[in-house]
Amino acid sequence: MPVNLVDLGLIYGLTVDGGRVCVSLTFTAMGCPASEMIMGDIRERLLAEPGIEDVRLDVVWDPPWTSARLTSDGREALRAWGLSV
Amino acid sequence: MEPANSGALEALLKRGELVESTSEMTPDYLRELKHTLLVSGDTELISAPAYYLAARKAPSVNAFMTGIAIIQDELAHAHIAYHILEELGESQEALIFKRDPKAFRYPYAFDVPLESWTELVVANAMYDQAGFCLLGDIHEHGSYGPWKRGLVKVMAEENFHLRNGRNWSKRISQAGGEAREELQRAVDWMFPLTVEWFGLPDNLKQHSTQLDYRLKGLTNDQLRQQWLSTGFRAHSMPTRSAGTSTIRAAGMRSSSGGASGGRATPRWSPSSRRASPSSRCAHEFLPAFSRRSGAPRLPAFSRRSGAP
Repeated sequence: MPVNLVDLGLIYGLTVDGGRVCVSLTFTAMGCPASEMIMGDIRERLLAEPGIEDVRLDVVWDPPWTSARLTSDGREALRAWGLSV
Repeated sequence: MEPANSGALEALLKRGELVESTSEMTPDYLRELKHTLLVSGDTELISAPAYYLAARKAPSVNAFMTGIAIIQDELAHAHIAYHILEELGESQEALIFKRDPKAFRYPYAFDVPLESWTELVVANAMYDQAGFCLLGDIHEHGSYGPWKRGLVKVMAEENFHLRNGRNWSKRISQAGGEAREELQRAVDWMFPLTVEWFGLPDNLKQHSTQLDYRLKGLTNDQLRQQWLSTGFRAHSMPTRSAGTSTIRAAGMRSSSGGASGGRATPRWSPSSRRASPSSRCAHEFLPAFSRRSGAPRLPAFSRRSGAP
């Protein structure tokens, strides 16, 4: 999908403590087939940042994701892609 | 309705317009369109059971879910092709469930079983990339409107398959050792089979009705070259050791494994354990679709008669 994770509303929180970054995130569905791929991308991208040595990912399901979490940019991108949101 | 005459169709194609109904087709155009759709539908369909055997070896539950999602996509893509064929007067039921397995048309590669998760992800990176090039060409240049529009979503979904193939190939390659060696072996045997996917070299083809009718826009060699450049440049696939491979591109084969008349035979390194693939996959999978054994028919939804 041509939309980033933040605009999709998947990122619930992010903290940085020295070289460690913790990300809490969710997925649009518990059966998301791309969840490992997404977590791998996050880990790889954050480790490419100077000074980041450790990435912790916390998958949360409460509150559950709904389309209300989309940003206006995310909503527009999905509409342009052909999804009704 | 009377079919269009060849002059009217030729003029329409020259103007760059789309064919939207059978009334605008000549019988020859319709025959070529159906053949192209059938190869596309059969290829998507046969990929599903082929991928499933390997997806069962997924290293995690989520990886298995990824594999299953890809398989669901492939079935949906097959359904699009068969559905259009139904709109063109064919029976989807007969095409999928009542045809002789030997009549299915798909690349030779799917006659060779995929036996591991590594082989599945290399298939995603290579086979799906080949499909992406072929369908992308039809999406961009194709003259039949309903198929062109149906491919918009197909192309988007195929991107997911490619990413799965590339991400996992990179991950396995970085792991090194035996995992990387297995990846290299998969690339080595699947590479020539994917080269074969694109059919005869242009210099062995005398004429292409598909190009004349703009059912595709690029020649076999152009598509093959596009696959080589998009599939392997900067995409984390390990370097292929091509030194011992001799590759002759061949055309589509029937599931009987017999080469179609007059077509070249693929040859590749005898070091490959797949040097002589049988038609095992086709013989195992396709009878599973057959309903000729008298299995009870369940009511199906139909667009023509209204949903039950």
